[in-house]
Amino acid sequence: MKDFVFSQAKLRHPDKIMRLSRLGAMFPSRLSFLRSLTRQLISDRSTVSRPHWNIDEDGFGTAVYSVTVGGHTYSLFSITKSLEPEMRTDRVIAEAWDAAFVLYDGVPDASEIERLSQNAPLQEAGRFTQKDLCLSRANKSVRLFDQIVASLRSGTGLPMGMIQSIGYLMRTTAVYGNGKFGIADRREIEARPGLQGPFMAEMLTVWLIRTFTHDLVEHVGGSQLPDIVKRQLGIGNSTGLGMAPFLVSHPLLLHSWMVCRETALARVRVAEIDLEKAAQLVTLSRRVAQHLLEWNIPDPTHQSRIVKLRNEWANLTVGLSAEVLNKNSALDCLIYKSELGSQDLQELTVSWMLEPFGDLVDGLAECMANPHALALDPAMSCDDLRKILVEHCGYATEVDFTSPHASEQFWYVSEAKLEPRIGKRHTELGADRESPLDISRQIHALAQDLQGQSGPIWQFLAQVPRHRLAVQRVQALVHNPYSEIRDNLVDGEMAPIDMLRCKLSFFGASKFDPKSQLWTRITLAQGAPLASDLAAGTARDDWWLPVSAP
Amino acid sequence: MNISENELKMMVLKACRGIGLPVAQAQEVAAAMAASPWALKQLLTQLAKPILTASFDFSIGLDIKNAHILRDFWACADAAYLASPRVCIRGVSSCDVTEALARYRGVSVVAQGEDLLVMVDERPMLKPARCEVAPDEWQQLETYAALTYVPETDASRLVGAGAGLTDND
Repeated sequence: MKDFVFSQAKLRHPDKIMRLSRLGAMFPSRLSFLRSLTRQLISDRSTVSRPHWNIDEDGFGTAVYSVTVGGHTYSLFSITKSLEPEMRTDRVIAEAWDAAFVLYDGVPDASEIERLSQNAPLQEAGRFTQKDLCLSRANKSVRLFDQIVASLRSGTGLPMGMIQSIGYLMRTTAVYGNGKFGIADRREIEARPGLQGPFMAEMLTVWLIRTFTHDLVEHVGGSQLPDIVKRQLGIGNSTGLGMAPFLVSHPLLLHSWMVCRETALARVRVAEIDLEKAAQLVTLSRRVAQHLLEWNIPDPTHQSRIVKLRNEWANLTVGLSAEVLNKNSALDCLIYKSELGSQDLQELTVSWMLEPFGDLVDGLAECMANPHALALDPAMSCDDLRKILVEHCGYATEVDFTSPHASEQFWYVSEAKLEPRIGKRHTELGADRESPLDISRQIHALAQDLQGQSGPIWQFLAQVPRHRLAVQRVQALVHNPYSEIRDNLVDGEMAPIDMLRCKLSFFGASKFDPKSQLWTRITLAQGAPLASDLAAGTARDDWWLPVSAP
Repeated sequence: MNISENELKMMVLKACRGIGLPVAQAQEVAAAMAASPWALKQLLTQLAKPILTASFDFSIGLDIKNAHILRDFWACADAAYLASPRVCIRGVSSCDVTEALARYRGVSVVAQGEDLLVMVDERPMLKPARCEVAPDEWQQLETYAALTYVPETDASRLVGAGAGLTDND
C-alpha cells in the first residue's frame, strides 16, 4: 500500500480557534458526522426496507425501518400517538411527544416490537436493553405537516415556501445514546464498520427518522411527494443546555474534532487546485449566497449576523472565477481576505473551502473518534507545569476572578429533570452544588496554589487533591491543544448557545435558529440523499448547505 | 437491575461528587467501578465514611494517615507507578473497593497489619461491561448523587433551560 504524505500549512492557533465566539460561528462541513454517515451509506450501497408498518389513517401506530451498514443490520422502531397541543413542548420537562423512536440492533420481532411500543413513548421513564442503541422522540411541525397533508389530499400545490423556510416535518428534542436508560453502551458498537465515528448511531437514527416522517406524511396525505421535495425536508432538532457540557467533559474528543477540521483546512490552503475543483468552488459560492438568502430567523441579533454575512460573502466572492482560483495560493489568499471580516465569514469560508477536496479531507473523519480519557503525568515537576500554564493557559490565568462578573454564572443539574441548567451565582441558590464546568476558574486556582511549589506534581496533588482535574487538563494541552474551550465558562457574558452551535455544526446542522442564549432549533439532513436515492444508486455526497433549488 | 456501563459510571461519579470528592478522583472511582461492579456494595461503605484532612510523609515514598481511600488512593497509585520505595496507607484494610481501584490503576494492594501497601502490578485491566445491581444499592447511590442536584424553583424552571413551554408551530 502506498503511503501518502499531505502537504499542509500551519494550523490555526488554538488561542484563536477555541474561543466561544468563534465556536459559535461554525458551519457544517464535509467532516460533519451526518456527511460521513451518508458517504458510508453510499459506499456500502445500503438500502432501506420497511419490514413493519402498522400506521392508521390518522398517522398513528408503529413502523420499523431496517438498513445494513458495514455488514450489520439496524432498525428504526417508530411509534406515533395523538398529542394534545398543550402537551407539545420541546423542553426536557415534556412527558409526551408526537413520535418516539428506538434504533435497534438487528430487526425486532413481534415481542420486541411490543416491548418497544411500551417503553419508547415513556422515554426517560422507560427502561431499555442492550439491543436498543439510541432513543429519541420528536414533535411535529404541525403547520407544515397539516399543510402538506391537505395539499396531498386535495391535489393542490404544495406549500413550497413553508417547506423551504421550516425544512422539516418533525423535530427531535433528544437523541440519547451510550447507555442512557439501559440502552447499549457505545463500547458495544464502536468497533463496528460504519459506526466507529462519533455519534454515527445517533446520526443513523436521525436520518432514518427523516425517512419515516416522509412516509408518514405521504401515508396520511394519501399520495406521494416528489423526491425533490422530500430532499428538502430534513429533520429538525430542538436543543438546549443538555448538550452544552459534553464539549467540556470530553476534552480529548473535542481536540480530535477540532484538529481534524484544522488539519483539513491546513491541507486545502496549500493544495493544488485544478480547474474542475475551482469551478466547483465557484458553483458552491453561489449556493452559499442562496443559502444565506433563504436562512431567515426571528431573533433580531442573529438575523443581523446573517444579513451582515450575506454582504461579507458577496464582497469576498466578487469577481471569483475558476480561472482566478486556479492559481497558486489562491485559497490561502482567500482565507487571509476572509479574516478581514467577521468570524461568521471566516468559518463559513473554511467550510466552503473544504467542500471540493474530499480526497484531502474525508480520510480525516476516521480520526475524529477518541477513546482515550485524561491521564495524569505524575512525574512532571511543578516547574514544568507552570511553564505549560504560561504557554497555554493565559485564557484562564489572566482572568480577574476577584470580579463577581467573572464567575457570575454557574452550571448545575436540576433535581427535577436531572438535566444541566445555568444559574446566577450571586442571586440564585445552588452554587454550592455547582457542576465542575468552570475549567478556567479551576486552572486559575491551580496556578495560584502552585506558586512556590516544587518537586513532582503527584506530591503537590496528594496534598491538594482538588487540583487533580485541572492538572490533567493543563497537561493534556501540550499534545491536545484544541482540547479546551479557551474562555471562561462561568463569566457573566458567557453564552451557552456558542457551545451548542459548535457541537451541532459537527453533527451537520444548518439553519441555526437560536431562540435564546440557551437553546436553538436547527435542521439536519436537509438536502441529504433519500432512501430511494440509495436504492436507485443515485445518491450523491453533495448536499452541503441546503438550498431550495439545488 | 440490569445497568449499562455508562449508567453505572455516571451514577458513581455523581455519588462520589455528592460526598465531596474532587471530580478527577470521582471520575477514576467511577471508571474503576464500571470495571469491577462486584465492589459496589463496599463502595457504599466507603462513601459513608467522613472525609478527614490527611497527613503525608514523603520521606521514604508516601505514607498517609487519615486517608479517605476514594480521595487518596490515586496519589498512592501515582507514587507506586513512579517506583517510590514504599507506599503505605495507614489504618486502611484491604477490601473489594481497594482491589477494584488497584486493578483499574494497574497496581496491587497488600495488607500489612492494619495498613495497606500499594505496589506496581502487571495484571491486565478489567474490561467494563453491563452488570446487575441490587435495587437497594442503586437507590443508595442515587441518594448520594442527589446531593449534587439543585432543587428547582419557578424562576429557575423558566430561565434555566431552553425551549418553549409549548411548541405548536
